[in-house]
Amino acid sequence: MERDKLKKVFKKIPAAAFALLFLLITCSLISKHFWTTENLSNLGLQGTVLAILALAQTLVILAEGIDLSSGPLVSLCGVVVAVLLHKGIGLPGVILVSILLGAACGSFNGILIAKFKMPPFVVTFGNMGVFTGLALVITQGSSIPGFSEAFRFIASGYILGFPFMVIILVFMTLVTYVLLYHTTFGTYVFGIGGNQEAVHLIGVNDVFFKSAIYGVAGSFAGVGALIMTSRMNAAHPLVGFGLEFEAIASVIVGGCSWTLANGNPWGSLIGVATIVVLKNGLNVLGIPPAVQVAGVGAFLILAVIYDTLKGK
Amino acid sequence: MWVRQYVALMMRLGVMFIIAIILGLARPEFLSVNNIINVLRQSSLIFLLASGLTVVVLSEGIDLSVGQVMALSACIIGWLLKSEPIVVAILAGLAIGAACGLVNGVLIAYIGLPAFVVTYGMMWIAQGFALLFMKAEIIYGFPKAFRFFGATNLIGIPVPVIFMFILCGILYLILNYTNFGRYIYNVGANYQAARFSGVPIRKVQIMAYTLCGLLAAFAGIFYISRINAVEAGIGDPLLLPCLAAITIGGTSLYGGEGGVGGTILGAIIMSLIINGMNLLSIDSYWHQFVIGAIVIISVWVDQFQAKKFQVS
Repeated sequence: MERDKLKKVFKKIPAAAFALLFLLITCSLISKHFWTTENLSNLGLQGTVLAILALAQTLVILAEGIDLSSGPLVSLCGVVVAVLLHKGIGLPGVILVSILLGAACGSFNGILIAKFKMPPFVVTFGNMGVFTGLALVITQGSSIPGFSEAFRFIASGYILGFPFMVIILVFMTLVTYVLLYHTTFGTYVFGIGGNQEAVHLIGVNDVFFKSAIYGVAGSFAGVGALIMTSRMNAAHPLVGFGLEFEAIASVIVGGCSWTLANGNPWGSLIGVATIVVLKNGLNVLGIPPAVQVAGVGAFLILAVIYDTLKGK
Repeated sequence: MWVRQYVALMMRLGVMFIIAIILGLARPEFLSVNNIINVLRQSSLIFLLASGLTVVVLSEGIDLSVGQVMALSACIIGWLLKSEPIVVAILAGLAIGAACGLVNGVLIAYIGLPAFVVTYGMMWIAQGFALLFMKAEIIYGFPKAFRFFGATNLIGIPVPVIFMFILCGILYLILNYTNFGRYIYNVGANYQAARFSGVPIRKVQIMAYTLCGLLAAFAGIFYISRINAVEAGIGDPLLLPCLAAITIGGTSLYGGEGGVGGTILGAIIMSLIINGMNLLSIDSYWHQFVIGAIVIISVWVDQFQAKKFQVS
């Protein structure tokens, strides 16, 4: 009995938790600077946008989908925000536009996937090209720098001693939590991931909810774009390149799986921490960023293998 | 059944000629022999990469890593060419490509991981290794004998175009007249039925992915031989045009339907469009947008047709 219980608890812990523990120990051994406040706050800054994208990706993956276009969508929203800011549009308007544009692009993904029953990875891969292309067309390939103090507050401001970015992240986490566990929307996210046919048969408009999942994910990307643009104090049409990959890796490493809607947002956040620490560790070892990407890719595949074997 | 295939083929030929005629009217230089050979040469590079992917897609799989696997083996070939004989370099490159495909296949067939996750991870792993290997440098200037593959003509026709037709013929024979080929269609059309009728599914899947990796390396040979240089990023923009060529060519992303013959037409249509955008001097930033949109539209049409014919 005891053993069975232990096994159950063990099965609930995502691969990321062990990996994170291992990485934290290794990092503190190889680098004296790892536990300094400077490094840790740096990690936090890097992780915030990624965490918001990972939360969005969690919703999508729970519903048996995937969103490869979230990185390029961050670029597109960021570029539009920059153009509007330079046109003299106020902060509230810009925030609204970014979130709505994200939601619209996400819903476009969602409608193609849910209504026209196209495979999610193809739709979002195609839209990756569309969004990147639009961002490039708008900026003509160059970056748009320089924003007002008010806009830069999003990423560099403090409220009561807490970075404003982190407050946004906490807020987005709460939004995800409430959406998933305390609304009908959340119930149908799990329902669509578990058995879409069943959800359809009990008379739920599954097409609407599936589209909405991608729409919500898109609006998260819009929020991410605001933080990203504000932090860099510039909008670049390729800034989001590869972000979707790290977000997906975080979610998978955090124990989300495509089968039967397994997973939760907490696992994804642990996954984000793992990926960020992993990259930091590789940085300390002097490994170039390009190769870090290979490390994350290998880590992703190992995590999927671990979860699949554990489930058997 | 054959009526539908015939109609589909005629539609594709029609689209091809309509695009060609419009381009010819808009820009008379489009119809010059030189330009047409240029288009064919461009399409041969797309086809070489897309042919292996077609086989995988026919078995209801996907390989998102073809572009990067091509880049990785091309980098290794380019590096080996500096010191080793051409044969050794080519064999090593082909072996690397096949090995990447083999890893994909084993993970998908034996551990049962979703194809798009495995190959997505492999995409970044291969890219990372290619970057590690090249250290962001460019190797250029290959031996004259090696340039035979991409830069020479036989009786006025570029060598890669000849290879395109030879490869298409071989793959056509394999897919239609061998057990392996029929198994590919079986697995793609109905996985369960194939399993129950004793098709060695795992073997077939592994062979398909290995073939895909091998052909990606093969495409790499022609690609770097043509441009006479190699760097780690050459594969990045190639997956979208390949997917577009496959879906335009009538191979269903749901597996079991289509073939390499269609992919040739798809590749020619794609390079007509790219060539046309260049001739009409459309801003290159639009290219990604257009190609992404083409992928989505062609998959949508594929889905639409599949539905229409399922009913009857």
